[in-house]
Amino acid sequence: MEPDRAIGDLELFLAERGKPLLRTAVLLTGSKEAGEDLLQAALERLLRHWRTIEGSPEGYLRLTLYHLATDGWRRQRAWRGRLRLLQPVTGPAVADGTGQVDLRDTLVRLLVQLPPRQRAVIVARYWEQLTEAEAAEVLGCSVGTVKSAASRGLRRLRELSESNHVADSGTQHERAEERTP
Amino acid sequence: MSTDLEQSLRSGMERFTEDIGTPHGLARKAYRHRQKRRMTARAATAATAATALTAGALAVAGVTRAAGPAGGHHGQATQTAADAYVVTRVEHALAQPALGNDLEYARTVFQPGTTLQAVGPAVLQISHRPGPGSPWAVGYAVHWMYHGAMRMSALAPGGQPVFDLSIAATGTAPGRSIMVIYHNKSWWQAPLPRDPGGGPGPVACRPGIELGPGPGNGWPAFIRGELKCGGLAVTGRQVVDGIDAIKITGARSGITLWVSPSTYLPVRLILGRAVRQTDFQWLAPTPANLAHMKVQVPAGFRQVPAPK
Repeated sequence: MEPDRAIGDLELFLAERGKPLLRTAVLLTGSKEAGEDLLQAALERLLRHWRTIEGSPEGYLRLTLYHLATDGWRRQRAWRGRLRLLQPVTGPAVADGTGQVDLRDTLVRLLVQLPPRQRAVIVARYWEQLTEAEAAEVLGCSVGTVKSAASRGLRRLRELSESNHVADSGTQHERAEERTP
Repeated sequence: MSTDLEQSLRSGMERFTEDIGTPHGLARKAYRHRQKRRMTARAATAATAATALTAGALAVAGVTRAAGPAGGHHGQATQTAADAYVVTRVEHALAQPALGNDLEYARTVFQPGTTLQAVGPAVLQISHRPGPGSPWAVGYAVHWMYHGAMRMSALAPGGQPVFDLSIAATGTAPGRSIMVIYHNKSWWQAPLPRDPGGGPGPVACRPGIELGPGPGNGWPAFIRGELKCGGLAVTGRQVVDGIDAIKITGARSGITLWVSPSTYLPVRLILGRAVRQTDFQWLAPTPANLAHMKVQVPAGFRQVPAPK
């Protein structure tokens, strides 16, 4: 690989098509910083296979984003042994007067609480507007798996949003989450 | 699931990501990171035994770099050098196997009117209201952590026990938590929520403090990650409990942390509006100290269902 040329080509590609990829990555991970890290990890894989990829790298990058996100990328974050201390609630604790906006924000914030595969299916189906068959192809699973994961993910989101509404109905508060194995 | 909710989800995703733009130089950054990983892998394969020595040497180099510009007028250079020093100190600390065998003891003093209530097997909710009249009003809490297990005892401002919580697991078995509640003389036990598989994303630079497994209950790794991503920055030295500690503050998180320069373990933490301060001690895991990890249910307390 000629590094400078490859990097230059890739920068040009990202300038044109980087934003939609990054938006997907952010939704898969739940934050801008984590999304950038995920996209960077996908770019690293792309560079590894740069010579063998023909045409636009977008498809490869998109597939890699989903695969990394569902295959336990950075599994060291697994919550076993983690301890969250006095973590401020960053969600919409204070209503802005429009319940619908609250609901939208809440749903996205709760998305990160879903297991990786369910989250990926939700992003593929409702963000990228892929059909069940297309989502199955991107995620490397069966259509049935996509259907069931989407159904469970949406049901879980609804449950979480309802319980979140109850929990957040008071005033602003801080929450301590303590988790150990 | 209604179509309305699906539309809300889609709309929320749009809102959440509308201001996001690809950072310049991401491809080059990925290339450099990949090169660095390849070099690291090669070095690890070739000379595993030399790693600890290298970390030690880096620490010494870090001291030299930090000592140079510290008294100068180049603020940016000073900060960079100080950060490098701290990072290398963390490398040094991580190379010390004994670090993983300390028992963490911490005492947290809360602001008046704070309540701390268990709302799930592994979730404590801290709030400023309803205030001192609540049975969950706390003045301070102490906790012990050792090898992934934890015990936390919360006490009212007057010293009366409020609750006793332990969270522990053995090997790969699901964890359990036990909570003793004193105001109504009850207790419950519950399995910890099933591991959702761990979401992707870095531990560092997220709200609050997330500690992973590892030496020093994950503190050195957390601090290193935050320094690298800019979530925390070294702001000087200050004597805390007789230790000439490194002071580290977070621009976004509101965290102020003092760490020991020799072990890189925290000695004091200030975080959030509810917490006045937390003071740490790192104890030898003697039988007497480890006995603090166990929660005893007092006689006569009745078992109740755990909150979901």
